[in-house]
Amino acid sequence: MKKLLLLLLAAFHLAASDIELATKIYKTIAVALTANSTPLFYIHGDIGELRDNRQILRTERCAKADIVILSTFDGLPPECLKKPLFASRYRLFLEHSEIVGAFFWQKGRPNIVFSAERLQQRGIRLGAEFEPYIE
Amino acid sequence: MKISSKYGTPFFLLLITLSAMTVISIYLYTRYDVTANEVNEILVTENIKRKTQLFENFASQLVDDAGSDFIEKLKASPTLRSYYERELAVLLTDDIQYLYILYQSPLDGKLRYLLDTAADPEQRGEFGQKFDPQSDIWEKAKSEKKTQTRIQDELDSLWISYVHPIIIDGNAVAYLAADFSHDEYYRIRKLFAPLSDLYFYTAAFMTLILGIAYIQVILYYFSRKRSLIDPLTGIHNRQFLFDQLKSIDIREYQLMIVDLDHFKQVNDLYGHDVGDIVLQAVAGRISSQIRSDDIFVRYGGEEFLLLIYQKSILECKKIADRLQESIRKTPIKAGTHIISMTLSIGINPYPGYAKNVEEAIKIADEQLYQAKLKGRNRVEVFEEEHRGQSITSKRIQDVTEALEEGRIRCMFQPIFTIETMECRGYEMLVRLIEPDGRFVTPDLFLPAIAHTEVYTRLTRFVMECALEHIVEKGFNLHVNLTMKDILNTDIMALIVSMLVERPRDARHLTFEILEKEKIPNIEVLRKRIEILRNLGTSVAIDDFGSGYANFNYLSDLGIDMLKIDSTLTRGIHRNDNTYNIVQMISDFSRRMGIRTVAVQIESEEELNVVRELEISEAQGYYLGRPSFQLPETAPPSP
Repeated sequence: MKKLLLLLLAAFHLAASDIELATKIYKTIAVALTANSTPLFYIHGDIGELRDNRQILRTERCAKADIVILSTFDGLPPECLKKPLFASRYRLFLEHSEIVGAFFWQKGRPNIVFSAERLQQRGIRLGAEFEPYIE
Repeated sequence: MKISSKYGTPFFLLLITLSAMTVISIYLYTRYDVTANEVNEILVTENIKRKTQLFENFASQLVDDAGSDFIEKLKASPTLRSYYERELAVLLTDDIQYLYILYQSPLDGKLRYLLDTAADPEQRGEFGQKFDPQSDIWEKAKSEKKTQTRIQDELDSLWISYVHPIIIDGNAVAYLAADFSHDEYYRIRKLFAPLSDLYFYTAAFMTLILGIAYIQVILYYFSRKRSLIDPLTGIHNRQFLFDQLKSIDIREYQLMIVDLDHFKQVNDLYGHDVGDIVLQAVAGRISSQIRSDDIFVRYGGEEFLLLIYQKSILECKKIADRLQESIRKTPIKAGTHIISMTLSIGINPYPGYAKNVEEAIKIADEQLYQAKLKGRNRVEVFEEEHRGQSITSKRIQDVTEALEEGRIRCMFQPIFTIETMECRGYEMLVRLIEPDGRFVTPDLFLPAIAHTEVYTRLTRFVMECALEHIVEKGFNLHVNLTMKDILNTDIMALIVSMLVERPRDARHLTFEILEKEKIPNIEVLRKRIEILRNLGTSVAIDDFGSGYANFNYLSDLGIDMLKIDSTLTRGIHRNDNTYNIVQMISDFSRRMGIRTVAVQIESEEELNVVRELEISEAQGYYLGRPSFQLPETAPPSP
């Protein structure tokens, strides 16, 4: 727990902006969820921090992606459902059981949450440092 | 020699003042910032304190109303949660961004939402939702069981977070939290804005002034440095010496005057450019042989002055020998010329015993003179037995005694109008009579008493002597003065005081001003001559043609008479050059209405020539020798 918290806090202090901070968090989570050191992102919906963000590798085809980051479920290509889905809003995470976790800003603070059950369904095992964020 | 004293006390005072001002300005600026922050903090704390009191009251009320198991009751009843959320929302104000209650889950120890007043669904924490703490404020509230506040430097949208632990049975089970927005912060900062603006502009103005002052100091430093350096040799100049003398103890030094032998011949033979190279080379060699504690300046044309710091007479003599050797042994290469030079050196090992610095230098100068007399390329040291009484001070004493004992006498040499050969007046010539009866001419004692009170006494004596004879005999008398006398305020005051009430006597008086010295300030000199003429006296330029006066000066100064230098009149009957020069002077003077006097006329031939050139007056042994006695009537023509 401490490790990720420290990472997040360090990123928190070092980041020049919320975008940089969010990018770092997304990348850390993506690496953990996909076990790929350079995961390919598919972004669905409008996610401010990742818009025109060149710090992540992204694809326009969900089939090729390692992870899907989404702010809405509407219009999500069916092939995306096979990929680990990660939300940028807490409500979306609550409403759709396919989504394994979420990173969102609430009360000016960054929050991370993972569903233990959904992770298990997809056979994803996260490191101990993610333990505090798993529900 | 201390470096700090090199460029004068005013410079360092200026620098210290400026540095102090800078430090004070920085201190005031930082002090203001600290004070502003402190005041800001007090205001904020007070403001938050007022609000948080309400939150604490709410928390107490919640526990009182719902009981110590309020968490369980709220968990079980959404209606109750809604009720208390509404109650809590009543406490929201514009500057409170979020107000919520978290509880610590007994299952996993995580903080979870119990109540939240946020209306925005994106910001609202759902009941039981995990809350990720970003700081240790929660841990502290739990462990210390006290309310905590924290400025949220890391979170852009929040300013201060407030956490109040709700204690049940001595344990913090829940936390009432409030996040304050920046609005309150900005409101308080806004109160300071006029003061901050004023302070900013004052600081900017101070910075500007200090910047200008620093530039001025730097410019002053360089200009001062330039004014103290001799441009030719690059060593310090006479001005530097006199500046240094104000701050050093001369007793710690030995004084040395160094003079280049036969330097005039170098200039005459090879030209001034070569002479300059020689001077530069000599200055360089001497500089390389002395220490930084010594003071080395170019004192005059080819004369250097050295103040050797804390050395014995023997060591000082050795230094002088070494300097001599360094110049003598290695000839100086100037362009295509190889020039051998030697030095004469006069040492005054006891400058501290002289009455003043001028006299100390004079003593060294006398030793230099002795070195020159004894054949040059020598070092002469002032002897210890003469310590306390230099040749100069002896002469001052001699003149003082002579004045007191009536051994200063005036001689009178007649001046004739050439046309009529009538005696027009007398030039007064002062003589000191030694106890053994020998006569001493002024050139041997006047330099020694210059700038002393004795000099003024001597001037008074001559003036009194002149006025006494004018009153008794009614003759016209000529009194000699130097340019320096005219520019000397004491001497001028003395003359004015003696003549101001006696215009009739003043009309018989002519002041002859020696023109061998350079005129330092023509405007002051013109005014002083005007004062003399207004008193009724006439003013003559003496030895005209030998020094610095020129025709242009003559028209400016408004003088009455020119006494042509003897080098022009002596043997004029057989020298065409001097004849032509005197003719030119005569023509010019006639046109300007200035009388002319030919001096040292020693033959009839000379007299005839100056008569032919229409010189108005003449004096000389041929016409009449100086005498201590004035005749009862004007002397007959020769």
